Amino acid sequence: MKRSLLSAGQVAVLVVGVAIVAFVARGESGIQQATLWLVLGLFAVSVSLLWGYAGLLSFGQAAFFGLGAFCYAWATTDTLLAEPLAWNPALIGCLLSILLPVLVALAIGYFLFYGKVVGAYFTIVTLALSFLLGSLGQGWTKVFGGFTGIAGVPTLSIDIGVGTFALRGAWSSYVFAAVVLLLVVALLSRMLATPFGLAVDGVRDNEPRLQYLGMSVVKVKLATFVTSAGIAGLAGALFAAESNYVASDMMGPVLSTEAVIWVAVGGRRSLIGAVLGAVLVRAGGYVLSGIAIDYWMLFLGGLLLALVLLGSTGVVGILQWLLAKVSARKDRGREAAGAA
Amino acid sequence: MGTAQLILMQVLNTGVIIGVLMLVTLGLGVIYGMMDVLNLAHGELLMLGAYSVVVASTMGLGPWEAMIVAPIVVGAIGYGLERGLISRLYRRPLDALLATWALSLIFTQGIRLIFGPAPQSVTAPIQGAVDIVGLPFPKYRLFVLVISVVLTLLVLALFRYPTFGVKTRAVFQNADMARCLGVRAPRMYSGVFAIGGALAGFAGALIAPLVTVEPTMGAVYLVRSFLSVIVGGVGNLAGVAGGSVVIGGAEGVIAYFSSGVFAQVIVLAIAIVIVRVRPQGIFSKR
Repeated sequence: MKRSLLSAGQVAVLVVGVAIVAFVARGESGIQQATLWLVLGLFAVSVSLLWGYAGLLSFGQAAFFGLGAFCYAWATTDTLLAEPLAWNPALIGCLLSILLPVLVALAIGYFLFYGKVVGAYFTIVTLALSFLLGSLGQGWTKVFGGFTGIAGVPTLSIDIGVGTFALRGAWSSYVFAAVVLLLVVALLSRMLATPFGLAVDGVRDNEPRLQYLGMSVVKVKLATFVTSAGIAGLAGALFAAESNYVASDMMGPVLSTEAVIWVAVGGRRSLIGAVLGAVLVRAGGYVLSGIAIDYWMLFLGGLLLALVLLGSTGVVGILQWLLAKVSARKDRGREAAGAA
Repeated sequence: MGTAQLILMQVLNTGVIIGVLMLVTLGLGVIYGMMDVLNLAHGELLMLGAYSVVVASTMGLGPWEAMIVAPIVVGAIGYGLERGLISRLYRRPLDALLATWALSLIFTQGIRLIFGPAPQSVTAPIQGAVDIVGLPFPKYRLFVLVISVVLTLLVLALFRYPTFGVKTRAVFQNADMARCLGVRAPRMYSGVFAIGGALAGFAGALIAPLVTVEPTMGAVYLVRSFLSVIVGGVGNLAGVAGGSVVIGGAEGVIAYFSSGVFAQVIVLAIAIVIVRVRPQGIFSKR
């Protein structure tokens, strides 16, 4: 329980910090950007769960993110249907955005995990999935809007019986995104602290041992994969509602692998690290976008290479190391004082 | 123009795709089989091969010389990558995968910065067409088909008969035992990476006149050749070549009836099902 409250608290601090920096730097438009970063942070959390905790490196997580975004767009616009859904399109869109990725992940995960697809193979099949969904989206104009995507996706607005819960203005969107992120992080941390969460750790660290203990490794993997697909889908729906636009490259390999970079930068073994990585990389890209976006991508590639070669645990890992150093010094100081 | 002729044309064109795919997949498969490293920058090695042709022809080399330069350049790059980078990561397969992905980002973006995102055009070294049962077929495509099949057979023979090939397969099957018997595995690794790179580079040079040469051209070949490796299984190299035939052929046949992208999606679905039913690949004996 303590661990889960701790990570939610860390994320809360981060969320407030991002808001202050963004508002001071760019005012309202800064807050709008920061909302998207938080949503992408939620997406990064799904990658971190899969990669950092279960040890399954997916290069196709954007497939679920993009599918979620399209579910929201399909429910709320006239792309797929003659007209938007009559009753609560945004709510149904959000629910579908979790359901469809979960079903797709269940189907693919069933074949892959029972087929004993592990390690690099898993990464490749997910990469292929995201790559093909991305190009399918570009070709299939009727469903995915083709090259132009689907514009005019409405902002979140839910009929709750006694009235309408709608997001108006930059701040309310930001707070909403922050609350969803906090809830998901708190729930996930809670889940990871249960025996199931320990089994997820076990899948990463020692699969045979887990089997000796009579646990079904495949089921643990499948559950983790499906959970992370659902989170990615929800993030996609929120992204669509916030940016009012959906395009097929949101399912593609570029976003999939960028998410892996976020998690590598922030620290793969912590949920807060994933959010931090997404915010840092996206904010960096935003600041540099006018000047040198080409060099930024080159820099990201170099950064990833350096992180991998150094075996780095990301920003969070470095912070933990520094904290450990500081506390060790304190202890030594206390010991010295005690001896005297 | 009869149906039979049309089908023959389709078969020949699919044959060209399969031939080039086999060259790319062989390099990828042998690197994966020996070193357990899935080289995500393999598509970019193909792209670098195509760009080597562009550079060589602006430097005044003829198309044939350019075609010889490409595999040498890209082979050298592959050798350098293994020595400088990949060799440090053999104990961490997922990190090796990430590193090769980082490399592919760097190559794509670097080429985009140097040449710009616009496609480059390359002229084929052979012009004109031959008559095949009454229909004109470009001579260059026929050349690509023949040369890639011949080269694939040569590579398969290289890994089968000479001492080098026997040692390679020994490392392939059991690296520790091979090293006990005095095979210098690390040295073989950089050699195999160089061969894989050279094959990808040559494939890039071959297809440069047939497709648009752009920084992102490698991705589609990467995905195709991975599917081929999955379907063929990494147990033996002939299986990998067979996987290319299945993937390239299926794509060609389905694309004939619908769109190319749709064909790729179907092929991916088939590959995922095959992984469940026969994880060891359809051509493995196990």
